[in-house]
Amino acid sequence: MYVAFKEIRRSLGRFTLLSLAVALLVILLLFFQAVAGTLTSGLTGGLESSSADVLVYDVRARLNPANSLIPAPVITQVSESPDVAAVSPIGLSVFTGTTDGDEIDVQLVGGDPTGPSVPAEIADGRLPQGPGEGLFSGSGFDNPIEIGQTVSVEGIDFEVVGTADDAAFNLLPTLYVTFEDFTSASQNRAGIPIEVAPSLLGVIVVDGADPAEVAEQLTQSIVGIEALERPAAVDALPGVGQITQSFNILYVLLYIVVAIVTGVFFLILTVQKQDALVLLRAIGTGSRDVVTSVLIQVLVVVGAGAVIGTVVTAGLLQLTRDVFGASLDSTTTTLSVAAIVVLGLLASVGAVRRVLAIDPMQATRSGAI
Amino acid sequence: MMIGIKELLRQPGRFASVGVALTVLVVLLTVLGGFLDGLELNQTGPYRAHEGRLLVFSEQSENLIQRSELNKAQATQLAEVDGVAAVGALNQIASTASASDGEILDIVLFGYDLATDVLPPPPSDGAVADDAMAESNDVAAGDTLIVGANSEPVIVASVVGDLSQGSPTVWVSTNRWREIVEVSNPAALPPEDVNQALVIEPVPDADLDLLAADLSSIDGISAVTASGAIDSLPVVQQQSTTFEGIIGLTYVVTLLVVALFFALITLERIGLYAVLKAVGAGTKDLMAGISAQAVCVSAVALILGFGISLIFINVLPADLPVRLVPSRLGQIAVGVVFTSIIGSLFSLRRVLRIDPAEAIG
Amino acid sequence: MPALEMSQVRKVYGADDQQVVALNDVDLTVDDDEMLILVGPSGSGKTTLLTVAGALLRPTSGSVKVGGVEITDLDDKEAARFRRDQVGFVFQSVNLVPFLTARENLLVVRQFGGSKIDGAAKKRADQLLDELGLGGRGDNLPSQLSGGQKQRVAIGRALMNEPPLVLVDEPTSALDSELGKQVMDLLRSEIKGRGVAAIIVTHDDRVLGYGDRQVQMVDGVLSSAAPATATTT
Repeated sequence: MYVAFKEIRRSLGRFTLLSLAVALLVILLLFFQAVAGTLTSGLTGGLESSSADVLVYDVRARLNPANSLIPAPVITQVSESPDVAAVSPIGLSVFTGTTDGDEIDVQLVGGDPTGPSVPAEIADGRLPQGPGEGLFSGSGFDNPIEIGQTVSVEGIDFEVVGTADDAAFNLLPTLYVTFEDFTSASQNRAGIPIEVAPSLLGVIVVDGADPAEVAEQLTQSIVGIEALERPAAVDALPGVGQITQSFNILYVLLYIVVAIVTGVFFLILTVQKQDALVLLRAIGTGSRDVVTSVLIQVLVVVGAGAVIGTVVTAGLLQLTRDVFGASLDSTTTTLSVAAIVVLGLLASVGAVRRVLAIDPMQATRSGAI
Repeated sequence: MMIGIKELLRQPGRFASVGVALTVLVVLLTVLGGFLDGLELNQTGPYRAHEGRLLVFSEQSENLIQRSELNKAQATQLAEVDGVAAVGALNQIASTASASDGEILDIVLFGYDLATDVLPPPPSDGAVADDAMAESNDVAAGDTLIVGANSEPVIVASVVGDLSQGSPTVWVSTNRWREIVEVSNPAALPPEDVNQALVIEPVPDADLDLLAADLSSIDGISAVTASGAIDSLPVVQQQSTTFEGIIGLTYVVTLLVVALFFALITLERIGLYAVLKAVGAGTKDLMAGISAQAVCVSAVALILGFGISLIFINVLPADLPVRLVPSRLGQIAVGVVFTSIIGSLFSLRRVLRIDPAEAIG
Repeated sequence: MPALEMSQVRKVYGADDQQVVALNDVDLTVDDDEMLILVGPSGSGKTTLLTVAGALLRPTSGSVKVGGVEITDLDDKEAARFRRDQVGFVFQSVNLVPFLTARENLLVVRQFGGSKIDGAAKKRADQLLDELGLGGRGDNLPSQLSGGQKQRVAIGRALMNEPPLVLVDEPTSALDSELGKQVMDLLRSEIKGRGVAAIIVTHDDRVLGYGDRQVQMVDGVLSSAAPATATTT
């Protein structure tokens, strides 16, 4: 251990460079996780954060909320089904709205604010209680709209009374309003008092019931609908499967890159100081001591790199909030950093094998060329 | 330079570590690029089918077709501008279609007037189908698609490649599009003589950018090329920003890997370089050798990395949006070689400081 | 014209209290076909004199002319060119490039400064290897050569560019007496046969008889100059 720290102190430049390289890999991984997570949650957040246990679609919509329209009788049929505690219509449509004079695309979500149509958790403020009120959730890519601001959609002014995190649909600024307001906005856009049907139904199951079983039972018993428990509905969103699968593949690739590049750095470093290691072995240092010294250095370098990388990523995401709208999630970050440290140690196997292969006899031979 | 290449050939093992690191970085860059291109290309087929044309939107729509509305007067005004050969309508709506196998697909239904280099003239009664449907559901010319909530039958006249916009697309004449929308989703039908967007066919040899500027000077009009329209799509912007950020960072890692490797290898070779300097080698000679090694290692890493990526992408599930585009591969090749050269030059300061007198005593 | 003229050459390392005078106002002239043996104890300044004469180090003061050209004011680029074209070095630790063959170790000095290795260079390298008794070893890497063979390749590299001045540092220190004799015989015949000047720095008494003249250095001062005690060919 003594030798390990002495070497780090004496070759501070080299070890700093190594730590910075690891830090860069950590930045690459955390940055990707954060921005990819934001992109995914912008697509899935609306359903993922919903207070509904089960979501009901028109069977012809193929689990695409944008294509689903629920006929009025279905609402009664669902609410009268066994194990159903509460039902709320969920109307979904993209409108062009204005706020502070700027025109924006806004996703309106109309429903019963006291039922399963709104996010399970509110970040700030409160749920809408009546007409002209809305709960806002940003996509991360747009400027946030704050409590007290007004968003005008098709002649209706919505005052933002609360905000929720990660509850946007379609990567758009999303406003949760009453179903009545949603209907009015749709009718105003059409110019005629058309009948506005909800896109989905949100269902809360009774305590102790399994949402998956309730969904299955609803699908079986009611003609023309398809019900799914919330996590399954999230996975079934169009494009989400592809994007999450793509990102998962990239995560795996990134971890491989981190492991290989870190391993390569330490291998180079070990090869480079082979002469010194030979000498240490020749003067009686055991392989175990030399290996411990290498592993301690790996731990110090990867640990320092992970800390620097995390701090820089947090700063970088803060600086680029307008562009990526992402921030670090503490659980993901801790897990990733732990994984990187473990991978760093595993990756140093090549370096350790090199150390174990050292023959102290080499010290007696001339190293001259 | 010769000395650098000879070392590489005689002692390839020394360069294996950096070669492996660079290879995995090339794989990462290629797969990232593949996803970026795949996601973008899968969402922009209808726009790319209009290359060589201009797309016109209402000014406040920010070039988004779903927010745009243009009336007949504006269309007439556009047709009178010098350089415009023809003006046609372009409308779209998200819908569903069931193929002959009975499966219901999400589609985007387009109504259009003008043929392009990709799209044939609108069939008088039938439809042009995206070949994504041919691949996934064996849709072929002559098949009947049942489109929309009110089950409008549409006969496929031809199948054209690379027209997807997230979902497969189906193209019918503007009149047929209005008929289908009117029965299946009347609330979404634009008023008579109003279209979401217009397509401008320029006169031969017209300068598209100049023409776009001319047209955009008309009040309430925004005219862009196909690539301009693509750049305006929020989903494309968001994905590009995300992936390009990661790709940029990967290049920085590549730079550091190469720089660190050659910095360490230079430290190892100080004695050798001192001898070479003593017998007349200049810093330029030594740096040329180091950079030649960096170029060769990166070239080998590129070949291996592209090969591995090709195999990797082929074993991925077919529905993943990943595409290897030659221009992207060229860009990665140039980027990696350039980054490697820059990385190798980080050793310059150390090489400059080597004192040839160290060769003696 | 003398091959080397050093006049009032002074080289000081360090500063203030730590100053070490490695060369103390040295005057030395080596004629264009003269083989000079430079002897002296360790730390006497022999190697510094060699490095200053070969433009590896700049003296603190004084003048060094090689072939009549002042070399103390050359910049780094000019000094590299000078070393490549005007001086041949044979180092104590041989210092061959480990991944180049014997022939390539000779050719490599031709390639610096953007020059090309042409047919004439290849012919000269083969001819030198033949003369040095390494005709069949041209394609061997240094690791495949014995100590004496490596030293001969180093001599070949020093002569490759036909320099007017050859500087040799402890050529026999790592060789047994038989090999040492062989190498010195070869060195003398190559240097005298080409009519070039040479300075050979040595500790080895066996080498003394190979020079035309012997100079002793103590504490940075050329303290005595004597003719060689014997000449062996």
